[in-house]
Amino acid sequence: MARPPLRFRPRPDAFGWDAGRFRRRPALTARASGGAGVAATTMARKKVRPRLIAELARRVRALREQRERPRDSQLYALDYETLTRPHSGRRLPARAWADARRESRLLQLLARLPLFGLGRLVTRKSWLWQHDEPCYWRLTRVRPDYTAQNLDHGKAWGVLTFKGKTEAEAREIEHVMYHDWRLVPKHEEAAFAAFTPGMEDRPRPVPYPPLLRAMILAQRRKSGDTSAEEPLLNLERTRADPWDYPAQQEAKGRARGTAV
Amino acid sequence: MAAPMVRRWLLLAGKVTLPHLLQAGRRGLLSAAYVNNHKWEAREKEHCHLADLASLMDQTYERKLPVSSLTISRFVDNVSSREEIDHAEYYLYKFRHSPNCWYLRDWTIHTWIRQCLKYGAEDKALYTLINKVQYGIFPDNFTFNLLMDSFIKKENYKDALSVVFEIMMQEAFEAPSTQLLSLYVLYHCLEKKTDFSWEEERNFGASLLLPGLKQKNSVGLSSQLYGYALLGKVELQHGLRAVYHNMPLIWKPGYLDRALQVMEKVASSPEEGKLCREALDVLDGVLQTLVSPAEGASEKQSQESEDNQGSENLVEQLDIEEPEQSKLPQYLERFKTSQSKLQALDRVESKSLLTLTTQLVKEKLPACEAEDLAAYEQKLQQWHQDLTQLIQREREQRERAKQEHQARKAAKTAA
Repeated sequence: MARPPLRFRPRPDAFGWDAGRFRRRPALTARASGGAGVAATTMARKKVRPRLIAELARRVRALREQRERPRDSQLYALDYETLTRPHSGRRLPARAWADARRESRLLQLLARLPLFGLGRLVTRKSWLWQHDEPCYWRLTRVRPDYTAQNLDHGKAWGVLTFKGKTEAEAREIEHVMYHDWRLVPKHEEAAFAAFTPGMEDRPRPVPYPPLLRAMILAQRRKSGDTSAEEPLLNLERTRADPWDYPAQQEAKGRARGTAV
Repeated sequence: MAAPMVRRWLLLAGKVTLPHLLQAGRRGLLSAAYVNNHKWEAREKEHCHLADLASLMDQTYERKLPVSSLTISRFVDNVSSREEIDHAEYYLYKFRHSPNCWYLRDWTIHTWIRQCLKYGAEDKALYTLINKVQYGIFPDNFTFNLLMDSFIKKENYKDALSVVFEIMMQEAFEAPSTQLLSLYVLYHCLEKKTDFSWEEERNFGASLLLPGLKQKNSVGLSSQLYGYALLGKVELQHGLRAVYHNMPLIWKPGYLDRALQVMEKVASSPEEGKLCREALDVLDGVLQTLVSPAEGASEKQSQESEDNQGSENLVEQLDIEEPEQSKLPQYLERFKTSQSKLQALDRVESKSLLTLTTQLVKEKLPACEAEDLAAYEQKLQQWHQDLTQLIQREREQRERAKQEHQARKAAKTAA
């Protein structure tokens, strides 16, 4: 006997057609007399019952996921012998092994400071090696992860100064869990942040090639523009951010573990 | 039977009176007006039962709700015996590991240290200060001065030195009184003992450097020189990372270079500052130890390079364009020229650093104390205002919660 697939769960009224057809026929004929369109809608759409228990179960599961979500201290814990993350079982990339042993995470530095280092300057060793101009974050808000034993994980917000240019607003600091951070001592802050913007050679605008110049002048004559100035080509480059400019942390989704 | 009792009573009386006589002779550096706690005792505080607060906090932690900073400040305020200090320590630890850890108030920290000093638990205060990461104790300069002075009074210079190292880690050398007290403690300890491990040398170097940068006199300049010399020694013997890792120091190489720059600046500046012979001798000794056993040490270093440190040193040396080791002969020459110039200009102070510091302390400390006391009184008022605001906010929140609860109950009974 061919059993129906389990996807299809026979409802009490699925075979009601057999059981109650003697009762249903007058009703059907009444409906059929209504019109062909009505018959089509009753055939296409079944009445959807509100599944309350499933909704309740969904909400309970969401609440439990929220309550038992892995905290930063679990997500970003690192075994320093094998350089693997116990949470995801993944190993750090080879270029990060030396840094993970030598440098510290941001909150590891901030846990030793009063008020978690509000208002202090922090830099990254990769910025120090890559750029000559000062790049640093000035901290405005710190939220440590209280489940960590040494309070050395968490989130921080601050104002970025990258290659001497300061941003206008504070935002969340990216790569807080990377072993890359250094704290600028207070007596060296002035010397570290001092930046004189170098003379940028603005390339002067140059005249167009002859054919293009002729085309532009013809266009001008056609549109009735009688200005006699020479059309000039602007040679300024489009400023693109360097590859290690910190991205918007808020734009990234909730941490579901690490990529590495 | 009466005679032994009388003898025992006499012995006890003798035991009681002798310590008073001994302690009457010992004095700390700070004046009595600074150290006494009349103003602190006279502040208005709420009298709460500690057991109630403890049970409230335990219940809140069990329900995984955050404990407010007001509760922990009330607990620490109402400590009245030595055992309760241990309980307060436990609750401070729990508060630090709760969601509100950032909000631990200044007055709570100040009160905690004062209570520890009052009930004779200085070692506990020092323990919580050293493990500041776990307890969240970050005192301000007034509290640091009180703690250091209590150790100086008992002539426990080892613990006073630990306090100075903690101030250095927090970079809290803002007030001149703290700078003077810490320099006094540092020079006292340096006089007694001369051989240190490299970590102690590094800590001494940083703790001499930071207040030395703030003091604009010969003691300050000599402290800078001394600090840079010690740090340069650690840099050349153990690598630059050993100097700046977990310390409030910059990662740029060349600490000996900076020491020599201090000397050259003093030699060429028209002001009155002098450098102590002691500090110059220390720098001289450091340069000699680094230069002369270079042949013997290079074999040791090549052995060490085959150990773990090899790869790290290699990474550092790749960064630095010219390794410091090769600059040592130049440093020696510069030192000799600067020293002769200083002696020619009569800028070398022959008194020892400890006597100079004691002199400076006697001259300048009363003025600094007056400033500190005025600032402390203002701070006490500010703390009182903040406390009243917090209490008001808590009362309003409780009323609001009660009203909501009643509204909900009424809605439930109506429905």
